[in-house]
Amino acid sequence: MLQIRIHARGGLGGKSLAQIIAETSLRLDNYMQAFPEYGPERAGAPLRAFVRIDNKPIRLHEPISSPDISIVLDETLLLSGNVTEGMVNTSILIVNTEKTKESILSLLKNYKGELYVIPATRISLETIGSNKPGSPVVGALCRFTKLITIEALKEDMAQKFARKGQEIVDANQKAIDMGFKSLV
Amino acid sequence: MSKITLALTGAHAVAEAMRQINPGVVALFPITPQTPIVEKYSEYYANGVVDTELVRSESEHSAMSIVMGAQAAGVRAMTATSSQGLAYMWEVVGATAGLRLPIVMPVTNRALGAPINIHCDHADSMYCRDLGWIHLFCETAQEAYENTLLAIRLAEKVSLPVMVLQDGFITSHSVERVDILDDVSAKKFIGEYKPNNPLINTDYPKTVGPIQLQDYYFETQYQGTIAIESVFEEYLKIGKELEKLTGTKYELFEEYKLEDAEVAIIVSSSTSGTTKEVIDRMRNEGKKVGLLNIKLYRPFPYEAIAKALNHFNLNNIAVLDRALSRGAMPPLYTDIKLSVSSLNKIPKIQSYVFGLGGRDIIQKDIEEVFESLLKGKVKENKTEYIGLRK
Repeated sequence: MLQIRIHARGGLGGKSLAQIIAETSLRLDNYMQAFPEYGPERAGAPLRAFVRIDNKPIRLHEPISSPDISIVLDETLLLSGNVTEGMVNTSILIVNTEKTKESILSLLKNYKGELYVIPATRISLETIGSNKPGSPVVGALCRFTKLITIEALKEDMAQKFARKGQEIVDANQKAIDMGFKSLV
Repeated sequence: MSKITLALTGAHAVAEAMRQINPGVVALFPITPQTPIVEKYSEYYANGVVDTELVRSESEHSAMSIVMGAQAAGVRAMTATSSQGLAYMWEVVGATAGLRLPIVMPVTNRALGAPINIHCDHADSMYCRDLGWIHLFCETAQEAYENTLLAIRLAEKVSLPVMVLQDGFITSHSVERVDILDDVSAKKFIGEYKPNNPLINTDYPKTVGPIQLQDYYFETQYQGTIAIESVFEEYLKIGKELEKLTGTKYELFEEYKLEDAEVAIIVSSSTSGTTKEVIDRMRNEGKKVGLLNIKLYRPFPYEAIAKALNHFNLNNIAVLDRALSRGAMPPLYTDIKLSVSSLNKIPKIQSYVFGLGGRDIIQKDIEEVFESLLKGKVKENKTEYIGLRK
């Protein structure tokens, strides 16, 4: 079972990101579960969302305390200190930032896992035209798992945004491709 | 017959079932975490997917009154609610059961204020357990979908209303893989509604809900009691029919590795899923642990549960309630205690209360319960509280 935890702020698309990962994995015939942590719903407030993917039905109903992958959509959340909670040597941390890995690492205490950075906000501004880092990040995620693929993601985007027009679909699909390439 | 696989929340899974039921009347009033059910249903209505008479009521008391009137008049009628909403409609909830109206109402379980809280516990439906409704607890979004279809048939067969209960947020707002039936098969299973003695029939004018004093009230109450006792058989029968379409077995409750268990947890809804994960892990360590997952809660299957718990090896049981009964032992514990009272070898039963107001229950908590049972730590008639800061 792959367990992903997303750290975001209200309005940044954290909940949608969890949903897109889950829906895409379903296209590849997996079982999945995606749920946000609900508090008072305010734009800008810290928010966590969770995704589980497996090849058999998922029965667990608890927040993800030791994720395989933790995604940070807003780097200011690194300061609150819990984005690496429960993570081990083999865990993967993906941070949306313009900073280098070294400067991000200096902000993390006792983190022993792998770290990757991606300028997802910049990519989304260039492609979609607003700060929606979810699309580039989910593209980058395909580098770590076969439970979702770029092709399945693009299909999902095409269906999800069909009513909003081809332009929006193209922009998001471009963001996915750029995200896949831009992660370091 | 074909199945369609979708990514749905528990709330949207129920809305899918409602779309296939396409009731004559749906009365709605939003309340967290039920809102996405009626929101989705309103979308179907606005897009012309359903031809329901959709009534935006000004309160839950009105919503249930509208549904009661519509069902008495002779159409299928539905609403959905949670928590304070259920509390507010309580008067009419009781009346619909008294009038033997086969209303199906999805409920997303939520704590009851005060203090105000939007998250899951079972206080709302537990405090309605004696009103004459059938209560069906669901573990997953899949089950919430299937049980809503089953509930329509069951309600109409026994002329009693049904609550289909899923955990607020935990199930209602979690996206899961859900297989839904194709519309033709679903609609064929649901069937055409043939109202029993409808109000609107000019050939036989009648009154619904007249006053009954000392002379007949008692007898009418007794008839409802007889009716609800027939539910066990009908539920299993209709379940067999639905099983042919879904492949799911519909039992009064689920036994998970209970057969040779030395200790067992009894719990309902989403927590039973987490419990099964813990059981598989502990079984690998050679620990004989099991689960009885409560599904049909009203009427309560005392005899069948007693039979399931009548194992020579089963020594200690924990009953996990997600609701209190202040000043008394919690509701599920009390029911289980009564179930086992007829056994020759009565297992010891520890009461636990957990998860009030959405407090997380995690694998570690459940493992600790099993470990204490294995060590024989059982205090009868004393409740322990999981994850409580005292």
